Parts: sequence; C-alpha cells; structure tokens
Amino acid sequence: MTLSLDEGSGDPAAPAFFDEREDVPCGRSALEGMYPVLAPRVHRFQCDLLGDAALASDATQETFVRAFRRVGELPTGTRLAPWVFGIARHVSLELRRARGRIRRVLVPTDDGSHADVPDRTARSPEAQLLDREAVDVVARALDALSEDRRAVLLLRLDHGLSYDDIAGLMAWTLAKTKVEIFRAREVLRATLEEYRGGGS
Amino acid sequence: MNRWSTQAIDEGAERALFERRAQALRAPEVPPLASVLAAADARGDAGTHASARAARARVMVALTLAAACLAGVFVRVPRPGGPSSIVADVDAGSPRRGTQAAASPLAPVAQAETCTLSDPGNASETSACFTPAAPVAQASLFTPFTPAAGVPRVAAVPPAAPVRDVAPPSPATPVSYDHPGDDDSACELRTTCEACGSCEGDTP
Repeated sequence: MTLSLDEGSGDPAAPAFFDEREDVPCGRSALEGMYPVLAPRVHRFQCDLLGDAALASDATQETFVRAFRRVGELPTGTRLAPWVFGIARHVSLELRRARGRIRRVLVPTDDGSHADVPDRTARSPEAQLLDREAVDVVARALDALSEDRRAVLLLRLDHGLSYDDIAGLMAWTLAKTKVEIFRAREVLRATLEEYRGGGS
Repeated sequence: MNRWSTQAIDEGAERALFERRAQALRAPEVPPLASVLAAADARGDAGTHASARAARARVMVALTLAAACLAGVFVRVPRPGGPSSIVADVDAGSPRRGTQAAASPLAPVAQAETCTLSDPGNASETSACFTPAAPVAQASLFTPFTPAAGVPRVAAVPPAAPVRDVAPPSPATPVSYDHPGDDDSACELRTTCEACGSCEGDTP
C-alpha cells in the first residue's frame, strides 16, 4: 500500500478554507472570531517554514500580536487570512535571519515514532500508515524546495489561498506566482513518484 | 482535456495529500487568545511611546542638519565688502593657460576685453571668434563680477599689420593673425579664437 495522489477528490475547484467575502468586516472582532481556526493553520505554516515546533509557537504568537495591533488600520474589505499569512511569512523570515537556517526535524526517532507525531487515537492503522506516509512525502518535498517556493506551495495547497492572494502577500506578479507554484508542485510530484517507485 | 485542467485535477489530489498530512499531525498548542491580546495591547502602548521618542529624535536630527547647512552657506559666501579671493589668471607663459583661463571666472571677461575689432565692418565675424566660457566658480553666482584691484585692464589696441612669425599670445601683447583670403579679419587673441583653425602662424 502506497500513498498516491489519485486518492484525493480531484475537485479542481476545491473550497477555500476561509470563507471570506468582500463585505466581511475586517476589524478586531472579526480577527478574534477567526483566531481559533486561523491560529492552528498559522502555527503549522510556521512549523513548516521554520522546522521547529517551539519556535513556531513563538512565531505564531508574534504573528497575531502584530495582526491585532494593525488590524484597526486595515481598509474595509481586506481579506484577513491572506493578510495574516503575509505577516506570518515576514515573522518567519525575521526569525530565520535571527537564528540562522534551521533544519527541519521531521526525522524518525529511535522507537519508530515520528518527531511530529500524528494523532493516532481516532484513526485506523491503515489510515495512520497513510498519514505517516503523507507526512514523510510532504516533508521530503518541502526540504527540497527553496524558502519562497516552500511558502507558496504551502499557501496554495495546504492553506487554500488563491493565486491572487499569494501574489499579493509575496509581492510577486501573478505570472511569477503561478510559475513558482508550478515548479514547486513538480518537485512534490517527483518526490511522490520517487517514493512510489521505492515502495513498489 | 488541456494541460491546465489536468493540473487543476492534480492540484486537487495534492490538496488531499496535504489535508491528510494536516490530519496526521498533532494539533498544535497555540497561544491562548487572551495572552495574545494582552501582548498586543501592551506592545501597542510601548510602541506609541517609542514612536513619539523616535519622532522627537528625527526632528532634532533634522534641525541640527539644517543649522549645519546654514552655517556652511554663511561661511562660504563672500561678503560684498570683504576681501576678494578671486585672482585673475593672466600668466601668459603658462602652458596650461587655456585650462586655467577656463577655470577662472575672470578669464572670459578678460579675454573679451582684449579682443578688439580690426575692422568695424567685420564686427560680427570677429565677435563670433570669442565665445566667452561660462563662469564655473560658485562665487560668481552670488556676487556680480568686479575686477580685482591688482588686475590691469588691457586697453583696446589699434589694428596691427599682419605678422608672420607670431610670438606666444598674451593678453598684454595682442597679436594679429592672417586669415587666408580675408586679411581684414584679425583676431587679437589666438588661444580663444575658434574660427581661426587655418590661420597662419599657428602656434601652440
């Protein structure tokens, strides 16, 4: 049994993770309401970028501290989730510059468990195995990517941001954003093919 | 099915992979909202004070720079009644006379004064020979030109006969040159004549 990309739903118009419309208020109360959903995602984003769970917690707190300080200055109609992810990326870059490059620590431990241990309490053994394979494949692919490509791949595939939002928060053109995401997905597919070839 | 639609389907599958991964990872321990809000409020107050201090510091730096610039301007600009530091370059023997004359703000005026018309009817041609260089010294921008007391003005000289062997030109001893085909147009000062490229008796 190997992990395959064909297991997904295949829906090209996958729903966004954050239902944000233009008329949604973007004040402090709205951000407080989004915090329970947004904070775990920002933490995972920081953990993927920094490779350290403890550092990711600090980065998450710093991200939301900055967000709550500046949320009152946002113009009406600003989409909060891309804006918060933009702050998160800046925070991760600052931490990375401050502490140097940090290697990802998704390595198996001696007892066979994983450093980022999956929650195995409510899933079948088969699902647990697939989950673990997904963690391994994605971690390997992310390790092979540059900082920027890793960020845009995570923002697109893991957090469901649109190309326009990613281009805005990365300060790139739309064309460059699509190209970078395409290259990152190529690396992801190659890693998965390598994994499937090795497992068969 | 084109390439982009294939990619869109693949992207859906890749998203499913990431969703599976997100389910597999343990739920992170995020900081509580209350602590984040308290930290944001505390930092907001501190940031207000810090920004006020930074604004005051910027104002002080700007005032200091402005005062330094004003002081520099007052020191550099010569007073109308003060001693003049401008000295005309009238050294005829210097090989770099042309360069020095161009560098001196007095040079164009002195050269123009030494240029006399040999023929009143040829005034336009003769005056075209002399193109006063633009003053380059900054002091000339602030004060009108007044010749220094020690610099003698060269009086107009009458037209001289054509000379074959010409000595090095000097403002004090103007020299005439022969123009082929036009003996009446004589330039007094060789070094500033731009229309006399074919003059006889051309000297360095």
